[in-house]
Amino acid sequence: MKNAHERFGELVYLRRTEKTRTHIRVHLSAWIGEESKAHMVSVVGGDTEIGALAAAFANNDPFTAIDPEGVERIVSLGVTPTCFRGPIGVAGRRRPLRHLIGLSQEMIGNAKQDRLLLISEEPMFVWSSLVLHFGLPALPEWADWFLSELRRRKRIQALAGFGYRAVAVRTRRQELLKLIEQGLRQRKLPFPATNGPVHWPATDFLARTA
Amino acid sequence: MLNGVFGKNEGRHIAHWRSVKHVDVYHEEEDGYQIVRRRERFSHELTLAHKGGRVLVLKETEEKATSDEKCA
Repeated sequence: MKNAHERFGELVYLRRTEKTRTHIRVHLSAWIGEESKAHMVSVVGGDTEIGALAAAFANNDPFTAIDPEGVERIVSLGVTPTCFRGPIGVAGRRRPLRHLIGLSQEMIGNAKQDRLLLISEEPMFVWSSLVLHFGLPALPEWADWFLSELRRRKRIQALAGFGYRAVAVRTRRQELLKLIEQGLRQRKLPFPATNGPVHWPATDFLARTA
Repeated sequence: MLNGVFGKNEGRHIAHWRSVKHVDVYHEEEDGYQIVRRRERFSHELTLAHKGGRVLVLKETEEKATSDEKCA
């Protein structure tokens, strides 16, 4: 793993009014987005900076996300983003740093769109998220076949950003149910030999973050 | 509510239950004003995937809701 200063990007927020000028620059530990829209930002800074940024996010103000390679993008989190704040204690500092995570409505899953945004491209994580989100009668063993079908149909698209390998899966419940039907009829999806509950394994991604 | 694999022979299936949110909208008129009332409620939905490939979604339908109201 790289050192923090090489791993982090920067988030720059600039706002000018008639009387005031606000210029905030904080460390960006991760962000996910596309074109002019950010879906997730994770920043670390002081009390005042984080407070001002939370207000800017809530106001749908644009900001600049700079990744560790120096690529800049002007983005915003959209209307009514959800923010989570917490302290990070650092040895030698009297006051803790503040950590802020801002999530767009689409990332939270509130927006009614035919796609699901996920923070990892790991097959089991993507498949279990689809099953949970759309409420599908499915098995973990079907992950590879489903993901290859979705990739063949160009339903999985990588998102911009760093810190996570995020993807957007553009699909609908009806399409997934149709795929289950097709897979079972063509005997491409194995059916369990015995009756009982379906056990979903903990994904590597979740085990790493736990 | 039970999720998992059930049944025997050709009737073997995977069952998955979930809660679905419904919003009932009622329009009333009072003193020349149109009043719109929204009632949020949840109902259950069961999806079955049979071994042979048949997929069934069992959920509350419009007709069912009307008959429930009539019973009440």
